[in-house]
Amino acid sequence: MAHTYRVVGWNRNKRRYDAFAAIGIALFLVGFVVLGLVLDERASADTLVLRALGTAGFVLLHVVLAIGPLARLDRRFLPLLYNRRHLGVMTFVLGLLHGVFALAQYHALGVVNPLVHVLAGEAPAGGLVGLPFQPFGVVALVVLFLMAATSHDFWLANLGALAWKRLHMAVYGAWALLVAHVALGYLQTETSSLGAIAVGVGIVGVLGLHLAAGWRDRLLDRASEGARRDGFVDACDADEVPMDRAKIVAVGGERVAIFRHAGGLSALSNLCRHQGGPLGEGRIVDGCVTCPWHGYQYQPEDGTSPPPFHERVETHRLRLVGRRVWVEERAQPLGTHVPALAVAGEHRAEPT
Amino acid sequence: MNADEEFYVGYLDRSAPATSRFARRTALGLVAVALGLGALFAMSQSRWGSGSFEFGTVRTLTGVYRAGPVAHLEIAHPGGRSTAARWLLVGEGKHGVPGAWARFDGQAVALEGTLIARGATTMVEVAGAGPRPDAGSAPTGAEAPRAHGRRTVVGEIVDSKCWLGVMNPGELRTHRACATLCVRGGVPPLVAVWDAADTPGQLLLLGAAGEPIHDRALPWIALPVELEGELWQLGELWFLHLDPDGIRRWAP
Ligand code: HEM
Ligand code: FES
Repeated sequence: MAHTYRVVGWNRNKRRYDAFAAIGIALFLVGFVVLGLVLDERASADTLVLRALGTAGFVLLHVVLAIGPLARLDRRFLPLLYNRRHLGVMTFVLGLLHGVFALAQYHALGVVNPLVHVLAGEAPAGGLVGLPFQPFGVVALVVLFLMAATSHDFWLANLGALAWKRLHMAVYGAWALLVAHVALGYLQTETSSLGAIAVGVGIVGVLGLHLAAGWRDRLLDRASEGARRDGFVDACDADEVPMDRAKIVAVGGERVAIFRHAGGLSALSNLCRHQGGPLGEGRIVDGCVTCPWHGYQYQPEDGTSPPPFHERVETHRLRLVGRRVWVEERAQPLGTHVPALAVAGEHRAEPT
Repeated sequence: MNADEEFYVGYLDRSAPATSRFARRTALGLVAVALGLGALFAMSQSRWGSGSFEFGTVRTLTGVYRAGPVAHLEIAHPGGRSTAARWLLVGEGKHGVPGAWARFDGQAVALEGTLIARGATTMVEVAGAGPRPDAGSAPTGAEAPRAHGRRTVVGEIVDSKCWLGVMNPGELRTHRACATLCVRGGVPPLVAVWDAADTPGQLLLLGAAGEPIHDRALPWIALPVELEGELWQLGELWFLHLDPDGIRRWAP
């Protein structure tokens, strides 16, 4: 496997992004503890710190999960996606501090090894709601750790995009585990319904955004799936593709981006090699297809990154029938040069 | 140029005004939503206990060591009181007093410890060195416990050390694992009584013959339970003597 990888390096936007997140987290932690102390004089600072850390990690995970579908629904959210991985690492760190604190408070200094006790110390109390809640937190923390540890592009290059993507889909598993962790623990303790309302808002928000984004993608796919003849699918009108932009079409269940660049029309797989960003929502920059997520670039005619990089995405052959553009369903092998389809005449330059 | 026509490429420092304006606004929006959810969580907290723990303050105490029915120190006239006080004794961390200290039973001792208190009950977390014979305080004759008859109570079995003040809240589901570990380590189990109309609110839990039942109580810790047994009193300490087989889950 390739040991060379492209680093999305440090820059001003990334530093600003991280500073913003760090300030937000600090405000959250301090606010939580102060609010707790002000609301009830019996409140204990130890418990408030433990709860502030866990709650901050839990809420931040919701933010991480919301950014993906937001960016799919409206590309103006893309800047939030740019450095999302750092938010994931921050989620892990908050969860780790909370977990270590809980281990020290509730499981240390006893007659059982704390690491054994955190997993096996609480006997099930009967029924689903009687399940011990802390093991759910431990497993979630392990998953968050694996993702944080492999979040760097080094691992992306070495695990391969598909394996990496699969590993990082586990974030949904971690989220479900944490919902159980909170529902079986804290929510069973408190009589106030505010905590349950907060958890409910989180669940509805995350699921709702994902359903909305998935729904929109399906509508677009449906609208674009056209007639087919000898391996080619009727994709769109040549005029529908604005200059330096693309039209995304569904071809045999896969999405293909048809770009208009100086040389004409070229079709590439819509999936960026980096983290699967939607290339068709990107742009032509300096003659190259540029991914909207982190800016990886590909030459439109052969789907290959300009030297010194060597990421490649599949290309598709195009055919012009009257004013209609037809895309070949079968992709060309990686790196195949497909000459751009020359289209004469005017095109409307409005974005799709 | 509006944000839709601009194209944001994160590694380019060139600023795209409409994009950064939108990004800043949405980032602030997300932070506001996150803070709002955090506030809901913070405001949902209500189950705080009223115990206290003088963490960091070590006092020297003298009195008569009593190994049973639950280890405690009988102090002649604490703070000028006319009657004797009985302060429960536990070890450090999640431990009760070591069995070996039973050799001090009935003797005048001195010890270093930290106070834990809730309501009428006081407890001492004894520092590592433990009690030592103390010639200064003279042993008194043992007082006999008084029987108060049969009672049925509803409440929660907790570990006395955390619930009396070391942790807050030292009860309910979130504290179940911790309380289990404490009771396994020898901290006396205590019943926090919810319907304390005709009984005191804090009863130390013992077997039918007044013997310790730490292990038999473990499965019931931090759950709502109904308990039936004999109520006993020794000074300001109250006990419920029961057959652990009769413990029932209670549902409202
Ligand atoms: C080793 C792993 C973990 C352990 C041992 C653990 C333990 C605990 C304990 C004991 C509580 C109840 C605290 C109380 O209210 O008194 C709790 C609650 C909670 N935990 Fe965890 N946890 C772990 C991992 C996590 C992770 C990774 C997250 C999120 C990133 C998390 C989020 C929460 C939240 C939101 C609550 C509810 C608020 C609270 O009661 O603190 N936990 N956890
Ligand atoms: S997904 Fe990161 S650059 Fe395309």
